[in-house]
Amino acid sequence: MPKINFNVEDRAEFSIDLNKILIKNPSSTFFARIDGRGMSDNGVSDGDVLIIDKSLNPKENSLVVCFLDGGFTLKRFNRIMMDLYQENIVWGVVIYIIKKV
Amino acid sequence: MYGLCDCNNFFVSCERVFNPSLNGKPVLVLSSNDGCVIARSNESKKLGIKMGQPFFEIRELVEKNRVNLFSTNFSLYNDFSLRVMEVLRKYVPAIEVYSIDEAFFDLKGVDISILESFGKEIAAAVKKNIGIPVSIGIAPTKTLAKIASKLAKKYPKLEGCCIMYRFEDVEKVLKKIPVEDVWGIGRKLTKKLYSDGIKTAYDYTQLSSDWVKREMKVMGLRTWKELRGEACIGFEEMPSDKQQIMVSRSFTKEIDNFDDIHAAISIFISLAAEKLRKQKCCAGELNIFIFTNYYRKDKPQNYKIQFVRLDFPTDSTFELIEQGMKALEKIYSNKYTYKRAGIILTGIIKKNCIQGTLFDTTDRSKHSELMNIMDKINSDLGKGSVSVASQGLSPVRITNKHLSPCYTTRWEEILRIKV
Repeated sequence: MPKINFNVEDRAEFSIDLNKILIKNPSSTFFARIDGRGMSDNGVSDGDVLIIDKSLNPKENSLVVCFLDGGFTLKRFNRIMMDLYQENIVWGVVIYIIKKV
Repeated sequence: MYGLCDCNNFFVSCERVFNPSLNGKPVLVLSSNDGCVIARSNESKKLGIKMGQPFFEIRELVEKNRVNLFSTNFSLYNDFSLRVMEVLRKYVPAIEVYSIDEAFFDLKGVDISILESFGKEIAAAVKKNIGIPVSIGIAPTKTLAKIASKLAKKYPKLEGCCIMYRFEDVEKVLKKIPVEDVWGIGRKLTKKLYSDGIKTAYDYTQLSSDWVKREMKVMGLRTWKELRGEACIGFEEMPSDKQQIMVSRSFTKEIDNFDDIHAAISIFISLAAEKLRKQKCCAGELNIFIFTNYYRKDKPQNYKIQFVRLDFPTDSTFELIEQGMKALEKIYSNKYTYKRAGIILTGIIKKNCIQGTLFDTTDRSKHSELMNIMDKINSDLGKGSVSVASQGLSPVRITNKHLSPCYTTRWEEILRIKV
């Protein structure tokens, strides 16, 4: 049998790259860290890292970063509630939460 | 047709993305060492604060009007610039990044009837995806596109995009544009034009080409043609290497001894040399300058620049520092206290274009290797981890009292959300 040498470049598959998998729109993606326990009921804990995509439009019940009363906060998107605010308070849509276990 | 996308008050807009409570409030970004104004929000412009104005002149005004101050956060602005350009590329394949906050588009082949809505769509996308407001101008030449983008910025009704190409439209606009606001017309030329009674861009287009060529030279003629709708300024997709590299700072405290200024100049040279190596170039000339404090009328003033032509172009921090120190010794005097110093590298050429000389005695391959290692360590461990001994340990502390977090480039500094 002839011996065939494979180069690294010939590899059919590469190691999994989380950046590529989790971030579809690098130019509009930002990170934020949760400070506090006010969202534990929503599965968001102190110290969690959020991956936020500003280019997406929130759907009903999406987790969104809002700017409200002079500060950033997390909310579940609800169209009726959002319509009550004078301006658009949604800063970006959370697409993943990274938790340290 | 050409387009120009210009970010509105770019540095201020970057700060506002992570601090939306600053919207509608006066904001200023100050140069390194918080010396003078380098970006203003519209509210600050209305207060009469000028671009480049020294901070001490406006201190009272700033306090009285509660103007929000920021030190230059270059990492943040640079990251946002890359993001903006990335979004633009999604819409227009051919863009020319003209500066940190401006890019030209080549819109050849795009149907003219859709250009306006296309421009508005791009402006809306940059605003939504990144949070930066932009103004887009579309016109038959780059010079006219610049003017159109200014109109887009001035009139919010245009929704971020202004297109002008019909002869009557262009003429109407040019009649309202002061000639000094035209791209390519400098302060010197403006003076001359005003003395000849030429006040608007329209007046300029009405001059004869012979007159323009004689009085305003080739560049002036190019601008003249561009204003008349004839495209003369080509499109460069690739960012060109910098033709000069300058590093300079104002000192927090005036420097009155040779050792400190020596250390400062060494730092400036090593920063510049690092940039030089990054673009794989060498410099053949070095300029060192030291200035006293212009505003201290009670003290003797002194402005000195020393030019050095190197025997052999180099990118080595050691060689540049060695030459720089010889130059500094020539111009330094202990009779003065210095407020500002800097260095400029010129005569920049690609490293692979250099010819060796018979008299060159430096071991270049060794230097090169050492420089690579130095750059690698500094990029892995953070700026200034390794430096040449003459830099001293911390001789010039750059003061940035109002620096915002590097939200997008440092993991420890990402946005915090209190819940």
